Amino acid sequence: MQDPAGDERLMRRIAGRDNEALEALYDRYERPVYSFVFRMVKDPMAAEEVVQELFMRIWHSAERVHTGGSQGKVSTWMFAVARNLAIDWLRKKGRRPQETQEEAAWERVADGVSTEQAVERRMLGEEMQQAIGDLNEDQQQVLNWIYFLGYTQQEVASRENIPLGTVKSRVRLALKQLRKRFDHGRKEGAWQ
Amino acid sequence: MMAQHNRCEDVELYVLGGLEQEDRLAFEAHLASCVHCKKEVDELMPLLDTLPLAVQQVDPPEGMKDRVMARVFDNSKPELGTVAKRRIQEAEEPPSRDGEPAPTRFRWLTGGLVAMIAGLAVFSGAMVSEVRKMDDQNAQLNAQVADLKQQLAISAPTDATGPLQVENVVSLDAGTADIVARGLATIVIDSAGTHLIIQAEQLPALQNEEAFQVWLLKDGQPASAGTFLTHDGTGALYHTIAAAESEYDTIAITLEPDAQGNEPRGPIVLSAPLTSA
Repeated sequence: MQDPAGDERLMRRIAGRDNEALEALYDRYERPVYSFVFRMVKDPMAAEEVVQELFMRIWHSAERVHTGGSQGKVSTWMFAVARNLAIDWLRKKGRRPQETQEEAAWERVADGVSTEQAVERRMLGEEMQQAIGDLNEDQQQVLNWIYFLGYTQQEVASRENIPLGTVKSRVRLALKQLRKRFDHGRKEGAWQ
Repeated sequence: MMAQHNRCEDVELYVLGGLEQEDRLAFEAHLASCVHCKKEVDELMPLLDTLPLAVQQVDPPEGMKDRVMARVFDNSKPELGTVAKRRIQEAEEPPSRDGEPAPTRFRWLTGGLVAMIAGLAVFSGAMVSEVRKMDDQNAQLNAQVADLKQQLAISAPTDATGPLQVENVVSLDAGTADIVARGLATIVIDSAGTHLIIQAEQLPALQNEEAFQVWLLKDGQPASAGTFLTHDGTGALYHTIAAAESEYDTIAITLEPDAQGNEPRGPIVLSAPLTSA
C-alpha cells in the first residue's frame, strides 16, 4: 500500500514458502482487508472465512502473482481477490448484506493502530471517503452497489430500473472525478 | 455490439468489477489489442488500491491471525474449519438460564420427573453428540472443498495471470450463406498458459437442449474446446489450451443438439483458419 516494493519482496519470499513472510504480509493487511470484506458481507464469520481463503490463495499462488503495469500492486491484487471471494460468498448465500444508509456506508472511525503505514493508510482512506462524499448521490449509489455490494451493471439496471447506459455513465463520471482528485495527490507523491 | 468504440466505454465498469462475465471476457479480448483502453486501465487501477480503504475500519475477531495461519500452514490435514470450530465450541458451552439459580427452579420436582428429565438429558446428550458429529463431517467437507478450491486457484488463477499478450486474433466467418452470425477468436498468452477467447453475436436461436460447441482442428481432427449458450444471440467462451495441443490449424463453432458431444454432430456456424500471428 505505502510500501509496494516491500509487499513484492514479501510475495517473492512467500513464493519460496517463507512462513514468516506470509505472517508479515498478513500483519500489514489484516485490518484493512478484514474491514473491507466485512463491509461487503456484514458477517464476522463470513469475513474471516474470506480472509482465510485469501491467504490460502496467496500462499499457494504467490509465484503466479505478477504485479506491475495494468495488474497494479500486490495490495490491488489482494483487494481484488478479496472482493471476488466476498461476492462469491454473497451469491452462494443467495442474499446481499443488509444495505446501510449511504451516509453510514462511508462513515469511518479512527483506528487505534499507529504504525506509519497504518497512519498513511488512514489518511488515504479519509481522502477517498471525502472524494466519494463529493460525488453526487447517483454516482455514490452506483459506486456502492457495484463496488461494495458486488452487483453487475445489469443487476443494478434491472434492480433499480435505471437504463444500462445511465449506470455506465454514472460509473464513468464517478471514476473520472475520483481519478482527477487523486491524480493531484499522485503528482505530489502521496499516492504510490 | 462488438465495435471497438463501444467496448472502450466499458473500461470503468471493467476496472470497478461491474461487468457480467460475458462482457468481461469480451472486454479482456478487446483490451489485448486496444492501446487506449490499456492506458486507461493502468491509470484507473491505482484507484482500486485506495477505494477499499474508504470503509469503516473494524477490529478483526480475536485470534483470527492464529486461526488463519494455522489453516494455511497445516492444510494438508482435513482439519476443521476455524469458523466451524468456533461454532462447536459455542455449542459445548452450557446454555444460559437467565441467571436464575438452578436449585430454586428444580426444588419442587418429584423423583419421577427428575428421572424423566435425566432420561431426556441422556437422549439430548446423544443428539448433541450426533449433531456434533455431523458438524464435524460438515467442517471436514468444507475443508476438502476449500482444498479443492485452492487447487483450482493454483491451476487456473483468474486474478493473477499477469499481463496478457495477444498471440493471434481471427475473425470467424459464417459457415453458410443463410447465417448472419459473426465472431472473433483471440488467442492470448499469459503466465498461466495459452487461452482462447471466443466472442460471437447474431447467432441462431437455440432450441431445447441445443448448444454451440467450439472445436480446434488439426488436419481435420477436431478437439472440443467447450460449449456455450447464448443470450439474445450473443455468446462467449474461454478455454485454456494445453501446451501439447497448441498446433491447431482451424477453429470452428458448430450448432449441436446438446452440450454432451465428443465430436461434431451439427452444422458449422462459424469458422476460420488459424495461422500464426
